[in-house]
Amino acid sequence: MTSKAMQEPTFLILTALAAGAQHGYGIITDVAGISGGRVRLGAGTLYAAIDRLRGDRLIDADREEIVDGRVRRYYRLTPSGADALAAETARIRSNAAVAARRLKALGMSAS
Amino acid sequence: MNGSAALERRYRRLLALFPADHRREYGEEMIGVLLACTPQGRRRPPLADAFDLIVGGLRARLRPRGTRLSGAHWRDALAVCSIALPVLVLTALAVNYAWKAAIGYRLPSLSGFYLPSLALALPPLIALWYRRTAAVAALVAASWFWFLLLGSLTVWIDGLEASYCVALAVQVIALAGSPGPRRAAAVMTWKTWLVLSAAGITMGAASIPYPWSLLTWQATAVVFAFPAAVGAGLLVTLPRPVALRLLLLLAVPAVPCAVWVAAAETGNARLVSFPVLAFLLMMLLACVSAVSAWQSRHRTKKA
Repeated sequence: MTSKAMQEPTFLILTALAAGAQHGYGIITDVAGISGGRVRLGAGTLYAAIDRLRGDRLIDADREEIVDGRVRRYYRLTPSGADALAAETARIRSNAAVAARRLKALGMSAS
Repeated sequence: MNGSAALERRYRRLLALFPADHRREYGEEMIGVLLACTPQGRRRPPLADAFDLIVGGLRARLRPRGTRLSGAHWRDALAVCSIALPVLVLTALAVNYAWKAAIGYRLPSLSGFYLPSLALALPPLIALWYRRTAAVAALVAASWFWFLLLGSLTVWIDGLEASYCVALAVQVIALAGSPGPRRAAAVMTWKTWLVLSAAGITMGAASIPYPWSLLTWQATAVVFAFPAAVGAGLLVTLPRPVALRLLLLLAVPAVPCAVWVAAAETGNARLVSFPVLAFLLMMLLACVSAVSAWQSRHRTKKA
């Protein structure tokens, strides 16, 4: 997991859950907020990712609530998930630092 | 039919593209999320949502079955099994060894007891850092023990040694097919450790000759009570699907020893034919497969 670059939706889902346990709709709105509205996860994409992340033990079910007669399950980041997110964050930061240095050498700003 | 019901019905139709186990696990949640995301008053799913569900459903069907959540219970059971086997065997041997040392009895032979115990216990320790290396180490240890045993015995085999052979093979599968002992430690509680240690101590104590003899019904009660108590203990201290799978995994190496004890008790023979044991194991595995397949079909129907 840490050797391969993480896909952006996966990174954003883990980032959303780093703030605390959230249910599916909460994750979708949080991911949209984090990405500045650029990434809007569909339910199919979200739950395929949730299934894979649970299988990889990066996230786990936290608790369930019944709202309007429907089950609402909350998911949380596991310690392995936090490790994977930290590793990916370090990788992105390292790449970004190199890119910023080279842009600076060209007299350009990264912002 | 009002708009919301029509919309839900259409979403359910699209969800049918997902595999049954995915629908069973997430179907209702997905419906809730889809309805919450769709603007009020719509009767049909937005095109983007429909496309996302079609692609997601097809991709979920194309994913290897082992990587879906339904495989997670087996992976957890295998992870716990990689710890449970050495805990059971080492605790039982420690009790047996302590008793023999206390009364000055001849201590067990190296090849008969310590080698298989180390072969069971060392790979999970290696797996704390290197899981694949641990699985290979377990495979080498199992092959070596099988070679030693089958080199000296041809058709007849001691039930305990046969159990070691099978336990070593199960250990290879457990380490190769699970996230390893770190995951097991996360799934197990201190009560699980207590249950496994108590079971090991009981097995060790049962190997000590006692001065009184049990009546047949008492011996039968003990034989049934022990696995029942261990099973109940694991069911209470582990998630139920994991505990059930773990019990099936632990039952596999227990069969040869159980057959050996039964044969000895009935006075037929101290040694049991290896082909008979192999046949019984095959039957047990066939039963496990049949139960697993039945469960899978049953769930598919329910979903």
